[in-house]
Amino acid sequence: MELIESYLNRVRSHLHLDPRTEGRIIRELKSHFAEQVAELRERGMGAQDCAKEAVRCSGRPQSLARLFYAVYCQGSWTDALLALQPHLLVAALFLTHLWTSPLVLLASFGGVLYVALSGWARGRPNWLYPWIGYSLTPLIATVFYSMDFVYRSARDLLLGSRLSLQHVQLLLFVTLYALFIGLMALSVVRVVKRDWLLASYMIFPLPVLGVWISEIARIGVRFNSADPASYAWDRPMTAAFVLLGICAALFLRIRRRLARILLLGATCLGATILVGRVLLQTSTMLTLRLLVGLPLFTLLAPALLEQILGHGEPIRPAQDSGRPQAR
Amino acid sequence: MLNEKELLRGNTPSLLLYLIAKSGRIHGYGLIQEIRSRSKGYFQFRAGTVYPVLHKLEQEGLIRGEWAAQAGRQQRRHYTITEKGKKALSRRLSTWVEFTTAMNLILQPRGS
Repeated sequence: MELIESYLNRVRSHLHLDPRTEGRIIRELKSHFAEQVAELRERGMGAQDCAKEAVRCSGRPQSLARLFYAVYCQGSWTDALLALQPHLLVAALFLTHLWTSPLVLLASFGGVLYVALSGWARGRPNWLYPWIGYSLTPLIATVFYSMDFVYRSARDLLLGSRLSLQHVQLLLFVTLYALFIGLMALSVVRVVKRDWLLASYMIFPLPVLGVWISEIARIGVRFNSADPASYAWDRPMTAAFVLLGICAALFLRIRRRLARILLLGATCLGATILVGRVLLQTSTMLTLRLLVGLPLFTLLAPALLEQILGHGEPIRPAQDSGRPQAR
Repeated sequence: MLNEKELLRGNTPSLLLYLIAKSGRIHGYGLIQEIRSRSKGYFQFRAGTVYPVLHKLEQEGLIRGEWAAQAGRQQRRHYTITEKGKKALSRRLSTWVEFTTAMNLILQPRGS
């Protein structure tokens, strides 16, 4: 039966669906194999030959998994609309220039975090991933904004200055960095274990946000300020987030995996280059390479991570004893 | 050119829906056996042909799947047709009858 277990593990590794659905599919296939093997045994075939024949009859595990993926991967139009919302929210913050208001930002990202956490607790539907991605934005912004301060404080500490309030703040920021890295790693790893493409889908606005945050951190735009430079960013940022939102909605409606990868890649690349060229106002080769490299890295890093971590939990013979599963 | 596989692909959901309705309650492997037996071995359906279609039909609310225990054996997932499925099947069958009648009228030799 090891041959069948190994076949089912290969099917599961290509399913890329939520664990509950995967469990249901694998359990049904397992029951199918048990029936088929029993029938072949009745015809007088040996146990090993029965397993070989059953696996041969079922075709390539990748093809079987792809057929199931096509059944379950497509979200409804409601799902697509829900996935569009956080992108539109960020676009609206730029359109109205309200991104400079800490109160509005707090309310907006508080709402995003609430949706992300409650959705995570309710089985992580596919539309939730953009919300999870955006809920990490305040942490990223804080890390960027504090980098200069952390660098200066760490340098002072190393040069042997006396302990002061600044060092307590440094400790707080280092804790925040650890929290950020931990949260980011935890969420990405959990999502990658299900499907690297969903992890890419979750973090694909990050290059655009990264370019913008690094630029405001570099120039030193303060919140509540009426800096004319900050108004110049509003239009390209609004356009970029509307583009990302349309892509996020379409992504859920597309059934073919390759088409999803291409859509995500092209949109992320296009939006990052658009924002990067307007914001950085430079087209040197280095900048262009960075603008192309950043989205590619963001999209492909989860795929590499999946290669290292593997997909889901392997099926063990003792597992899946046949008890009905809650849907 | 259309081959037998492509012809069958479009009609597999109707075929499965019909067999589920006829048998009342049947599992996936039972459907494969039924198709093989009714077609006298002409159609040899694979797991990949049957199960994704069953899941799609269930998602559309045309059939309902339930795990059922068997004495001393692994549980099976049995499927039954829903009211929505019965209506869909009746529509599909009348379309099929009209289609095959028209095809036969075209294909039969003139004057026969």
